[in-house]
Amino acid sequence: MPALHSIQAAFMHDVYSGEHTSAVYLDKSKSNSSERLNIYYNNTLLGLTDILAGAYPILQKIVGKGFFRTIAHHYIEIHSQSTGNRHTFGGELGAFLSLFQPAAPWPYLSDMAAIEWAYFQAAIAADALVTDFNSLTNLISERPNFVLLLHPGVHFVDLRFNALEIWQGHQKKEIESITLFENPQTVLVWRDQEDVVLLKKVSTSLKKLLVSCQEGESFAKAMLHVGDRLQDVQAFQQEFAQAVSMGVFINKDGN
Amino acid sequence: MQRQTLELTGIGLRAPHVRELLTSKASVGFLEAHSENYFGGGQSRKLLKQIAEMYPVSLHGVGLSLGRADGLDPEHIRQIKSLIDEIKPVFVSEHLTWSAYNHIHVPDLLPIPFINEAMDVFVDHVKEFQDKIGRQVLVENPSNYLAFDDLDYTEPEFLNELVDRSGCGLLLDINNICISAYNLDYDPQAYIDSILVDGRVRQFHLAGYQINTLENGEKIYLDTHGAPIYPEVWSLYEYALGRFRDVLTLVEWDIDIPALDVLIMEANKANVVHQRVKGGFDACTA
Repeated sequence: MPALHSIQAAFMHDVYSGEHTSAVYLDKSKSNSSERLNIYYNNTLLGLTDILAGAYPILQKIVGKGFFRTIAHHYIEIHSQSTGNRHTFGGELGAFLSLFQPAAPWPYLSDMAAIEWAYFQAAIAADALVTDFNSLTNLISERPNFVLLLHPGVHFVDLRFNALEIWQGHQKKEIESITLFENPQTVLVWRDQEDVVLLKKVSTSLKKLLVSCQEGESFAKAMLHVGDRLQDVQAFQQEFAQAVSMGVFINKDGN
Repeated sequence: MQRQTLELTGIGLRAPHVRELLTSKASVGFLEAHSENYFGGGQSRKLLKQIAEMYPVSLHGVGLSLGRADGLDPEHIRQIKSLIDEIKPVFVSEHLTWSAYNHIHVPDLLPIPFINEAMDVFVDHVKEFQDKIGRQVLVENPSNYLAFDDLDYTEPEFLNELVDRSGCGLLLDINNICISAYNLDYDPQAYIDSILVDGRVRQFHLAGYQINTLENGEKIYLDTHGAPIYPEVWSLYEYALGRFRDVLTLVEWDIDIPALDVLIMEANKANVVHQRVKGGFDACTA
């Protein structure tokens, strides 16, 4: 009997490819070893397709179950599940769709996938205590070099089309016709303290601040980056205050 | 950990039933949640915490991959431990399978060859997992569609030695025994007879399977958990109840999930069988 490593490497290859390289390790007295191996291949395809369908319900609604299955199978050919937590599988579907030729007539699908993935990840992100405006004001005065951390559920999505409008339209029972047009924008996706996932267009200034915070820069330094290009100070202050009150930030001390 | 006395059959906790289970207390022994569905945070995890305040909960893992040859994922164990600390489950269970190798995972439970090397891997991994979570894990027998060549153990022999060497308990899935016995042509009662009777079996699983036909006309049983429990599974359940004492039962239903009432009715059937065989309920401690 070969080493367990060899068997598992061959079997894993087979369940993703549909090949039968591990058949050599199987009991020859049982018939149909290839077909029996196919059961595990089919289970893998079905299981991963189900995971994608769970993460991308609107995308599936838009393209229909048949085409969604086609997309999923092509995606699975080049992307495998990389952790035992199935909720981590599928994050590259947006990028994949932008290059997937059969989806070319629907160029906004990539945007839709990006929104859905951010929404899905925001919903299941770890819990964290958010900071309020008073605590933040104290930190700014007491520790100017503090690092303002984003809630683990915070994601930014850069869109090419008016896909947020289309996504919101699909939340309604009766879907109205929406005209597609190019409209580059950044959408902030996060989970509030009531565990509701929210989506909101944000200015480039706020995005810049959030990215700097995410990269671990101190709040003072992050603000300097923003200040370089800030045109409407009051509008930015309002947007920032709103982000604080809606639970986008936690501080380094976790409170 | 405080020990709890349980009697009635449990059911698998599925998302469509959560609100109903929280609204009014259902007559079920316990609820089994799939651990990985509650990694991270958010609403699902909060709802599970509320469920755990009303019902005994068991955590059943499907992604740890105890049988992988290349070592357990410490982050996965950390997530399960965090859930255990929060939910305080009555049981923690995993599978006698693998689902990951060399950073690639599958959402399925893959068969292991019952060879000495696999035994050493399982013993090490079960011990490591139990050490890190600070409690015993129950290991569930798989449903098999194929068999490997040149084996050192039969499946019951493998399970018995794993218990002896690692200190784990067993979760006997009666449906899986029926499926594997049919697919690999062995006697399911002989399988039950081969598992030692010394309190190592702590839980039974019951579920429905599906019968498919291969290209050559050969029938194969598939573990789908998407149908009522078959008569032969009920018969084997009765047989197993006659052999093992103080074992709790759980009914699973994962696809085409029926209304909660239907699932509870299926669990009640198990209660009736249990009472008939035992003349009452075992007072099982978990």
